[in-house]
Amino acid sequence: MALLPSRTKYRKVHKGRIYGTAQKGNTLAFGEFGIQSLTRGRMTSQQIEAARVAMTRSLKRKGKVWIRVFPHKPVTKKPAETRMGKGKGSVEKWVAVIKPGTMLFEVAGCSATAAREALRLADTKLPFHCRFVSREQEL
Amino acid sequence: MHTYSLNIFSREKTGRGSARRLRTAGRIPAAVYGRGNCRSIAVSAVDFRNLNREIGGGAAVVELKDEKGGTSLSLVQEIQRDAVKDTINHIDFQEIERGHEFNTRVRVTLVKEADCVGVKNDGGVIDHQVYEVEIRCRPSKLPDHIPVDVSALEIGEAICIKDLPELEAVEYLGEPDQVIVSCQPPTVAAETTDDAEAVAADEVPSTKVGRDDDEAAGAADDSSGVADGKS
Repeated sequence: MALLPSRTKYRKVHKGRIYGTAQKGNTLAFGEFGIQSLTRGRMTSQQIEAARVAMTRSLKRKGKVWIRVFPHKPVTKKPAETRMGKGKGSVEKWVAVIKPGTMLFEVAGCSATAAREALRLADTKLPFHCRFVSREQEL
Repeated sequence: MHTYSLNIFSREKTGRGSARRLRTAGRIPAAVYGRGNCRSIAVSAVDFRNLNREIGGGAAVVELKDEKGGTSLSLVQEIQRDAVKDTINHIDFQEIERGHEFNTRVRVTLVKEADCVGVKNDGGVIDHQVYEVEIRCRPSKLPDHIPVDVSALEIGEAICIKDLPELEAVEYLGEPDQVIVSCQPPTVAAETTDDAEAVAADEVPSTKVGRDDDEAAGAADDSSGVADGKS
């Protein structure tokens, strides 16, 4: 099941711009290893799910995975072959707004090699550059 | 306990501009507080990086030496890092006094992780939940880290703060029942027929969303509301 908010105050929001770097959610909080975004962009709920499945398959259900981002933002789209006007399109997908430095996924309970491979596979599902981080690196 | 030493430079100017100039000049702005006085200082970026490597993530007492020859004992209370560039932006030192007790946080390290009974025999997963614990001790008794032996840990068992090894003149301050590390049972693999579509979305129970919002439940009723938009 795709990730999306259970209830929102407004159905549609403005597009917005992604300025600055992540000031919170930028360190390892739960796991021993993680991937951190290096560029900015949007991550759809489908991409989050694809990355999660890739990681859990790679870890062979042994490790523990944390998803540190949530797609709070609705993105609308007008139907094909529609004339301009007639209001804003309907919500097509939900995205997480990602700033450089955001910790996307964390992993624990497995070796560094297994975590690195799992997070590399997750990285291939994402539309921006990421880097592998570990608690040992932070020292 | 080993005491490390670090040269510091006092600074008068504070604020973003002077802090940026310091960083450009190869220094890191820092602050020393505790024992009633608080002052702004700077340290050499290279010296601090070497010191940090030498300490290796453990707790340590650092002797700060200023230009006038004065010294003071302190702890590295907090290091602010740039999340993208991975450079150090600012350091907080907390002054402590010899012979006086103080509170600090110390890393918990797992020992004999590979020999854990629950992992070796039953295929369990070690769940390290708390990486640091708060302790109270004197500077001379400050442990580098708290070693936790997990070799005897079986599936379903946990090591709490009350089970931590007793160290001389060290008092654990956290909740005694706070779990530090536990051994979780392995998740049962679902039958995999086709590799492409074998793992369905809801089949992996060990995944957690880091942010504890209450969005998980009742998603279906909102999706129906979303579909009612203009077309």
